[in-house]
Amino acid sequence: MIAPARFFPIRPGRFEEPRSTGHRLYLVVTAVLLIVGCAQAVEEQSRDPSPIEALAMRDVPRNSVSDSRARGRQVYHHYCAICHGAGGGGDGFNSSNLAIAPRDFTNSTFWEQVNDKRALQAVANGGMAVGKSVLMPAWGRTLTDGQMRDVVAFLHTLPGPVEPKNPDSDSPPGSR
Amino acid sequence: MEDYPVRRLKILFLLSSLACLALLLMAAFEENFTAGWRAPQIEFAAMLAEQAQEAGHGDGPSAAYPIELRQVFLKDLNRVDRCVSCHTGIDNPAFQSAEQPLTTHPGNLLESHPVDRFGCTICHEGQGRATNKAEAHGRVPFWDEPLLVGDLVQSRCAKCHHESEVPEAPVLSRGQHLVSALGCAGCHQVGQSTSVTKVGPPLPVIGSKVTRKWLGSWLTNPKSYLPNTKMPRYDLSAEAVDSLAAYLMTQRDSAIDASPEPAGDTATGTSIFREAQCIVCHVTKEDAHGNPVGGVLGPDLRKISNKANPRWLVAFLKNPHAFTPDTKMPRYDFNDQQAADLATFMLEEWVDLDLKDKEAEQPTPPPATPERIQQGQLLFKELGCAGCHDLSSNDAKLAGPDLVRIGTKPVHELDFGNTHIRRSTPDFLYTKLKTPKAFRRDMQLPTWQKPVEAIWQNLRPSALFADVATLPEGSEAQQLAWILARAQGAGILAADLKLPESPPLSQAEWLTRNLNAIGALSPLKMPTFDLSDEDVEAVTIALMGRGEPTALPKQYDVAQTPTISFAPQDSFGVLERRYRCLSCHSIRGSGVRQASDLTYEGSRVNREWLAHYLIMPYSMRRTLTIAMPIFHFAQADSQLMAEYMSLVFVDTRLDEEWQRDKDRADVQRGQALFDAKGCIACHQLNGKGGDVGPSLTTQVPEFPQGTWVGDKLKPGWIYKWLRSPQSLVPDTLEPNLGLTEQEALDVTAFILALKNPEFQDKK
Repeated sequence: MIAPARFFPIRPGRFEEPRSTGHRLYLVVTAVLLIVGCAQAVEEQSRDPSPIEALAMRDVPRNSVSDSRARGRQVYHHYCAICHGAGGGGDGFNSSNLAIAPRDFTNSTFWEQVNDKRALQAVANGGMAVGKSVLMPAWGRTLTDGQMRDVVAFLHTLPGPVEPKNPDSDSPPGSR
Repeated sequence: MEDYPVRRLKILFLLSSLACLALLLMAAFEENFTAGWRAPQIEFAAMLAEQAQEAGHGDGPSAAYPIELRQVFLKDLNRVDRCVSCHTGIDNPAFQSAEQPLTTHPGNLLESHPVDRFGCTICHEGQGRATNKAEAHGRVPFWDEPLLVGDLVQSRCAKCHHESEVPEAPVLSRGQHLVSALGCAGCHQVGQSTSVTKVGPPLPVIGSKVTRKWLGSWLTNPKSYLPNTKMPRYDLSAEAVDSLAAYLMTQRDSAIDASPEPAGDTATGTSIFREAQCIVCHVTKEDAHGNPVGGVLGPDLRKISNKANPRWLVAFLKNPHAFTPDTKMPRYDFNDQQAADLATFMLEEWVDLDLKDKEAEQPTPPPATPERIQQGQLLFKELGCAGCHDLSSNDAKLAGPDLVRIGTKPVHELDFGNTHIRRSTPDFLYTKLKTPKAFRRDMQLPTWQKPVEAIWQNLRPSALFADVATLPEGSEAQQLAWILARAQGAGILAADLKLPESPPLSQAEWLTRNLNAIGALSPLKMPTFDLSDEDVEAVTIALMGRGEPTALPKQYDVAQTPTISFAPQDSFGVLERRYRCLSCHSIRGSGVRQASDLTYEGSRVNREWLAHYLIMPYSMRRTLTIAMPIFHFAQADSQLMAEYMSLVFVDTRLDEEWQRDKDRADVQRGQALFDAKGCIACHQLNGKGGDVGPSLTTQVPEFPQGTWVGDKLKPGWIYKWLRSPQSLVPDTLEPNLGLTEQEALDVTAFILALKNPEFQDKK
């Protein structure tokens, strides 16, 4: 009949006297503080990067593992820049020795004449394979396919020539 | 009324049961409908379906992608990584352009490190079992290994890759290099090896080598004299600098001191300097932008006159190996007159007059009293100078803590001092390297210990008390007075300080305050290296890679390939050690790849040519002004070296292949191929062509054997080179043109025939 009493063996009459509200308030406040405290503890700590994290995350081309263009840049500077120039202007240190000048990648019409596929073909099979100078050797057996794709990706990062300015845009906005 | 409490309990019980049920339901709801990993998976499934539709087979049974908690379980690593619950596209190349967390892993690292073998947290850290972002990324309290961002992840490559160079981890590799180059091992245990390569020069005759004034300013701040020196700054007081300098100046060589002041001929000295190709290793000037010009193997010579004692310089030039046994500098065997000429030229040529004026303005250093010298000796020991510099009778005890496991040391065991930086290993190492004394905290007198004992325990490790094992008997006040007197005797506390008349406790506080003020109670001795941010980052990452060696099962280890150093004990070995060939050349993996690799030199060049080249080196490229130094080898020595190399440094297969096939070669076809392949773009032929590769027709009149390519190179080498240059020199610029055997034979024949007059005027 009074089954719960077996689980809660309490002295009879204990609940007859109502407890003071102060006591109860104390319990509630403690419980709330406890819960809030626990919730606080699992909240994520500050996400602002510390100085070393900021250093480690800065975007530099040397992070060559993830960036194809950065990898291509290294390959370019090792193998290509000696003739094509560090800036891609076809003005490398060996260019003056060549009867046919090396390609200038910063020429505005370069990417109009050449697409990635053709550029890749020239790198892999040499100038002759695309009807250009024999002085451009074939790199297909020296570089891996990935390295050659990286180099072509890097070529896209070379700055093009300065576009002729639109005369209208010379005046600062709002001056007219 | 009697039932009242029971009924009330029942209600309470019911309510709490309902609350529990509600909580369970809420948890179930959250887990099934609002869990953080569900949204990315739903988006991923939608993208998968879209891709399938674009590929044209969207109508069929679309690739059902169940939304569920995913994980990688790695039994041998004891890891459960649930990262793939959100990072769903990590090994799917079709998601390269997707945003985080769905995007593909960058680069091609997963090809060699598949997710189902390595998981994620083995490299990236974080909390693999967690199922919400904050906890999974590990940026929560009590999780010591939060997600490593950016380059920091490279530190974990070192868990398995024990090589010094890991190509996929450039920052780690640079850090490893810096750790050994900066001589960290001089003070810290940084690897398994207990032998230490001291990175600084030995100092047994330092007193005869340098001027006292130079030594004073060098000890104060080495970088003010040589901005890129490895030697760190110790922030010594003027008093300490004087003591240390006084001690070092007593390390002299009487023979050098007694030798005459050199008075040679500058013009002769200039030509000796040029012939010896000193600029290959030494910086002697700067270019228009102020950048140093010259090699970096040896010290910068631009201010040598401000530093070196002329008598020492002459003795050193005559035989550098007597002073620095493992120097990279060859022994040129200059005679007295040549050494004097060279020294006179160097001291007249490179002098910093501003620095001379500045030194003249400085007050004369105080006299070197025996007490000062003794104090300097103590300081030398205390600061751990012996970790980098050899000096007679010093015990090389490591001055700093063991760093072998610093990467996996629990964060709470790192002492962050009073700083407010984030409590993490990378932040600790970064701050320590940037500002080594940042974590210094003043000693507080503990309440649980006798104050005088606490002071004694903190002071005892310093050199001041190296010869005293225990405090002398006596009352506390007497003991405190004794410590004070000793510190005053050593000159680290002012002589006019007196213990206040008060109870021992406040006397102890007073003494602690005074010792704290000069940092005497701080155990932090590490000097400042003034590294750039990039270098600090690299060293931090290299140190983070040093962890518990048993952290991973053996099958994951990538062992360091053991290097067998080339050190023949025969007469060639004697010559090699005398002329330090390996300072520029490499042989079977030993040495430096500044000049050519000599491993197969005997199969590469003709013996007669080599014997003569050693006596009269020349440059193979028009534009290259640096060539091998003129050592003035004795005829017999150059013959011996040429003979040794042509007998020992060989790969007989090269010659065999050529001998087998040479009859099939055709010069005319070779010439046609030579033109068609554009060889002239890189090689000079009769005054035309590029300067990338060596000239094929160099002509040096003084060479009786001739210097055409066929005079120099052996046919077997040319033949193999044409077929596969990288198989002989892995990093050569020459492309593999894919010549067939017949084509390579023909071109070889043409190159060998170049010297014949019929080919000379055609080009």
